[in-house]
Amino acid sequence: MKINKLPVRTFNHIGLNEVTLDYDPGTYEDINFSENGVLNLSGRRDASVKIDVKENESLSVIMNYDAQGTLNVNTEVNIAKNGKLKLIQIDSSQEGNRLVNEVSANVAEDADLNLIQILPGRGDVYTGAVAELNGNRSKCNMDVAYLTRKTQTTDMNYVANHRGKETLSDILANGVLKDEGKKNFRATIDFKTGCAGSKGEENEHALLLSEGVINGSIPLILCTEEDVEGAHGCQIGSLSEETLFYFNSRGIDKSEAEKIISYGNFSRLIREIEDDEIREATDRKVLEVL
Amino acid sequence: MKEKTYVEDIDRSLYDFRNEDKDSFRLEEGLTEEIVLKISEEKNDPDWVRDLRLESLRMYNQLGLPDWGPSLADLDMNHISTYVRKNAKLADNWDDVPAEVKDTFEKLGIPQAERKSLAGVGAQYDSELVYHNMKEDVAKQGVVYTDIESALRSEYADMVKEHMMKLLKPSDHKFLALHGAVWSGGSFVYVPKGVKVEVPLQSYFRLNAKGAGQFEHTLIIVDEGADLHFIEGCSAPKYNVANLHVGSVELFVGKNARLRYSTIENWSKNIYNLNSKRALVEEGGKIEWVTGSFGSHISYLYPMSILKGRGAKTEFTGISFANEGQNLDTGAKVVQLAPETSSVMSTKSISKGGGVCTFRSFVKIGKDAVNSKSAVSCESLMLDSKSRSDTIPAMDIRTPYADIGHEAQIGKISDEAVFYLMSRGLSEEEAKTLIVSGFADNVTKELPLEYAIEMNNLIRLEMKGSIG
Repeated sequence: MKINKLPVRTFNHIGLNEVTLDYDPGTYEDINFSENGVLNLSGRRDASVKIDVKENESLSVIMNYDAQGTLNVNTEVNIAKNGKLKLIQIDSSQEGNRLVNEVSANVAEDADLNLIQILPGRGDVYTGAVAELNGNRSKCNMDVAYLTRKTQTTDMNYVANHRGKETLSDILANGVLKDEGKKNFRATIDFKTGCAGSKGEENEHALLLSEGVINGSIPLILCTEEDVEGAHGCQIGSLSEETLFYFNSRGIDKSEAEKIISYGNFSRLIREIEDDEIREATDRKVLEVL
Repeated sequence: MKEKTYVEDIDRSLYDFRNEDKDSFRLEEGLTEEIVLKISEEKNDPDWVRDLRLESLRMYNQLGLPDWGPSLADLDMNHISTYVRKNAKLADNWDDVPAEVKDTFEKLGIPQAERKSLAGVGAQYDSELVYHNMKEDVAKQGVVYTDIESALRSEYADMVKEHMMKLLKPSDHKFLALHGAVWSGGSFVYVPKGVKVEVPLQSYFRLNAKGAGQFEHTLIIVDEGADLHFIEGCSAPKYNVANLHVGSVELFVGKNARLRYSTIENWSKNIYNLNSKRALVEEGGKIEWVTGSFGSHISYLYPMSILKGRGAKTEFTGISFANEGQNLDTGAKVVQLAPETSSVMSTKSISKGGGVCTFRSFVKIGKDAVNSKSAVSCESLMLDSKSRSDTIPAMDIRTPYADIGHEAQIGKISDEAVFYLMSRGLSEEEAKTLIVSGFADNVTKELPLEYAIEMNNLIRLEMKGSIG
């Protein structure tokens, strides 16, 4: 099965148009979770999760994954007019798990989606999100922190479709690759005709720590509307001389500096977890693997 | 809501004039083994070239159309003649060129540019070169600038055989296979070790015949420590049937050598421009691409630099301007294989009147490319909401010891900037044209003055008619 497809294909030889996986998408348990709180998914509990946010409602949902082997999760989000959803997805799975995680969201007028994904290198991860910014002044923020280590693959695909007027999107991925980790980051801002006054931004920072890593990046901006502003930027490489000098001058060596920077990627998002127990557990897990 | 007025007709008479297809030898339309063998016979190919053509045809029939990029479904090879030759011999004096052909190139300003600012000129009309000449003092330096067919029969025959279609292989994609099967014309340049050619060489390609293809092959070898600026120009009159351009450019840049390859592409808007360009750069060498893409109905064009030697460099500076009926899919590719290599891409694109511009790029930093750098920057300007602009950059990084940066922006002309210029007496159209010309200055400042003026004229032509 092909997932994480780019909305517009490019050169086939670079292998970033999509990813092909052998998994059966037909055995999902339906879960409706339209409430504040924590949804724990573990074992082989493949799930189709539905989250509906009513008009003027604000929800904060944590999806905490603790699986062994494989876990496949599809999440459908509908946010009604002036609704707000903070959705935090955490991969707390056992070492070596394979996670396939897809989110699709419809965001109505003046509604707001804040999607946070914390992926601390538990195993292979195939994750993505498509936000349909249908309503005028709708917003989405997709913020990801990842660690890819050993021989793991982290394969990502984030898409913001701007349809309403004056819509906003912000996609940000901060990550670290080490050992023989392989990562693909796809991000697309698509300004559709009629989305006048919209703005979108996508950014990526990838810190490469080992000689065996493979980093793929493809940030797209698609546009059929004149009155928009779109931007993307990325920085890929190891710590700069200036950064290392800064740490060295404070008695911190290269290895420790790399840990501090890597931890910084996660801690910014971990702070967003409102559940004390999960926040502390996630923090511990991140420190463990770093 | 602002209202816009569009003046549909743009005066392109500078490029759109055409000659009758008389006194010409023209092969029937289509692509068969018989046609390929006829071309080979017509050109008196050496055996290896004939074999290359047949092998390429076999690959063409095996390979599929790309499943990305603009649709090529309307391109029907059964309605394209792959070889059209004027009944004239290759001349080294404009007076020996048939009058209407000479007149064509004079209207395009080629002989005048040769006299003023070029070290040599090649002029191709349909499938064959009609004029080729180089200044004596440059020839005395040992520089070779000739048509490929003459090179194949000269002391440089082995050099051509060693390099031709080795960097761009017929198996790479369907249209390189097509090129391998029916190529004709183009230039061969060799700059010996340490020779610096002070003024540029230029080849100009004119596709005059209706429903025809042009398949020239450019092969340039710049030896160790040498330096060359090569300019490529192209245009065609507009017909109501498809014309096809599938040229190939192979560039070999030696140790510590430098090659600047500049292109102002202004094909007519019925042309499918499916061109391939690739450079191989040795230690300390540098390839500089300067590209302005204004013409064609559909373009696929991504000049590729392979940085093979330590410290090799590439710079790509490009602009695309797509207007009504155009889908220009352009960009660049870089493969950095050695330590301390560097690449810089800076591109601009402008979409107007329903035109589609796509910037598509690929940067690969190999395992051995330690201490290498790459910076890619692209800016896109949308002049209306009938048009489309896409940015599709890809990166594949396989060493932690490299510094990779990428940035892109898309937007419209600032209302404040237009208002400011109008408050100083410019009309809205003049203000927008000035802003777009400024937006394109990354390319114009890299071109020789005459070509910068031509490019600004093209921008002015394309901007004519957008009154907000």
